[in-house]
Amino acid sequence: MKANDLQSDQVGVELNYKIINQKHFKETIIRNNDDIEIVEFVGGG
Amino acid sequence: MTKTTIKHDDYLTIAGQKFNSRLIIGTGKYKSFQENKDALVASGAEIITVALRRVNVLEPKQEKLQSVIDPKEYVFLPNTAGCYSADDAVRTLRLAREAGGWNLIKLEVIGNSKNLFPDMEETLKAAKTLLADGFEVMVYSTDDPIYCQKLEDLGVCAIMPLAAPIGSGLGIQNKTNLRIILENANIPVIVDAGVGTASDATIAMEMGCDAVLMNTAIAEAKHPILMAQAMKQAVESGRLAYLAGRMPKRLYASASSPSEGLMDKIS
Repeated sequence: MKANDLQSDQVGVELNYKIINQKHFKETIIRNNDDIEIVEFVGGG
Repeated sequence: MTKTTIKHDDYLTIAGQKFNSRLIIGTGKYKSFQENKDALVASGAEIITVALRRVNVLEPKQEKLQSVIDPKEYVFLPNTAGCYSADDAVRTLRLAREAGGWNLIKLEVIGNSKNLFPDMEETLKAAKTLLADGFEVMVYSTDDPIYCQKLEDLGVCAIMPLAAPIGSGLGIQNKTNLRIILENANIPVIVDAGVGTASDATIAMEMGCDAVLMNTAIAEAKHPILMAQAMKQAVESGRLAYLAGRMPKRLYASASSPSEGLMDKIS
């Protein structure tokens, strides 16, 4: 996330379909073949 | 001469939060976030809807909505646009809560990609789960009084029947249903979707709606900022007219000048 300049308090993250709380971003370990979703707010109606 | 002023305690209250503005606007389809911000300021809206999408990691420097519109200044209302099932909607909103920390959300579960009408069975299912999960749920729904009643019975904090298909700009298509919904509701009723121009918003407010939510009507106007201002005034005018209480409609004329004291007729 740091590499992509993402602010941790403005994104939602799922690791293998499980939401990762923002407080736990630093200690979360990512392994090969993990499924990661990172979402943010965009314009919408 | 007596000067009559309107006492300003006429707030829109949703889930215990008070708002001065009864206009909620979207953040989609604008040419830029800055244009969106300018329209937002002109509209006087305090709540804006936002969508949740994957981060484009290939373009990390892309401008972010939150860098132009500050969530500390406005209430961000995350929506579930693009979700076609209760499960997808719930997943989206749980992620939105993580990303923004907000409990007040707009639920919409779409049933058909052409007309974007809501799938009410999935909507009810999602609403039940979200309420149990502690969300304050505002719900986009069909203009069906029975479904609106079911949503209210579940405990949602606002029902948002469509005026017409999303982005159509057709205005209120079924005033009879809307009237019945308004008569039965004990929670805010917000017309969501289908407003095309200022008079549509005024009509909704004159009917007694608590607020109006719109996106395309402003974003796709030739001059979005001017239209945002028009919508602000339209919503306010409609609200004042509703509070003032309109005169009864009559089939025949009713003269405004007195009939007493008329001069004799010439012939």
